Amino acid sequence: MNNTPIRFDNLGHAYRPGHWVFQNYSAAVRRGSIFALLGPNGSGKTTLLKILLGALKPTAGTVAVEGRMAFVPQLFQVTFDYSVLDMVLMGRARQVGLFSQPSAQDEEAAMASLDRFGIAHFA
Amino acid sequence: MAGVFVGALFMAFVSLVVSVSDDSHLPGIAYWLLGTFVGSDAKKVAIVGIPTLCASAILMTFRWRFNLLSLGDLDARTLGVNVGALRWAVIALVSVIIASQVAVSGVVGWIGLVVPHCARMLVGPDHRRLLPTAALLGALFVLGLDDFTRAVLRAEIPVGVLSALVGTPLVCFLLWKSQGKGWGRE
Repeated sequence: MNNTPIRFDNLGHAYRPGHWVFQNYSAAVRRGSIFALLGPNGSGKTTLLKILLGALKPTAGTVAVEGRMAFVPQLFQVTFDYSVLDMVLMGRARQVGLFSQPSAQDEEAAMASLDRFGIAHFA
Repeated sequence: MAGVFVGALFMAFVSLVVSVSDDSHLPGIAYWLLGTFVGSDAKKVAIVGIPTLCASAILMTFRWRFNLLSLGDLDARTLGVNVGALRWAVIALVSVIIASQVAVSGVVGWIGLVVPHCARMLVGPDHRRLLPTAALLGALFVLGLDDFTRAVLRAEIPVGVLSALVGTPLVCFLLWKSQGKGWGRE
């Protein structure tokens, strides 16, 4: 097992060609550590996070992530009041085919996750 | 705002067509602009039915993914959704449905604003239930309005006029009711 499951190598991103938000960023996050990313406004902290989550493709360099990523945003607002089970079920998006609906197995997995955190009664 | 701009542009095209049309075609154009089912026949049903059924069948398979899209682009993308491609596919499919319907019955407005919100109040926001419910309710609503004018009023009032008369106050009421609460199950 790799001791640095998250690695950035010469990473850089530019929203417009030539206008780099950051460049040549290399780092490795050690397993079990708490990693803080500090910097002034506009220095690319959120951009780096979006790249890490796969929501943005980096302009330069690579990101290596071992296993799966989870992200807890500071602010989360949904337009519609989905049930707790509906929300957790959305986490199965990668397992559900493009033209398919979540199966009973997906619902069971979502319920199991809720159960694990002792909040199944909110489903 | 995009709707206002696109609407204004295409209204200009409609005005252009009206201005260069032969006088004998004007009554038909006027009725089409009001939105009507007058003159419905098997050919028109086929023009509406085939594209609507095909596009709806594909849209229905995407219906759970609408939940993901409603989370916003960033969250949907981190869940593995190809947001851009899915959005364009949905816009294209909905455009096919709307174009085929408007081509035969003209402008029947307000249905798309009123019915989905009513359906959401009935079955909640999960698009797996919401989409088929809204489709069924929408069809029943329009047919009900048209039947009402024919059976009760015994007049040939264009359904587009009635849908606006019923739809406008209904949307105002729903907006007022949902202020600060979001659209949800009541």
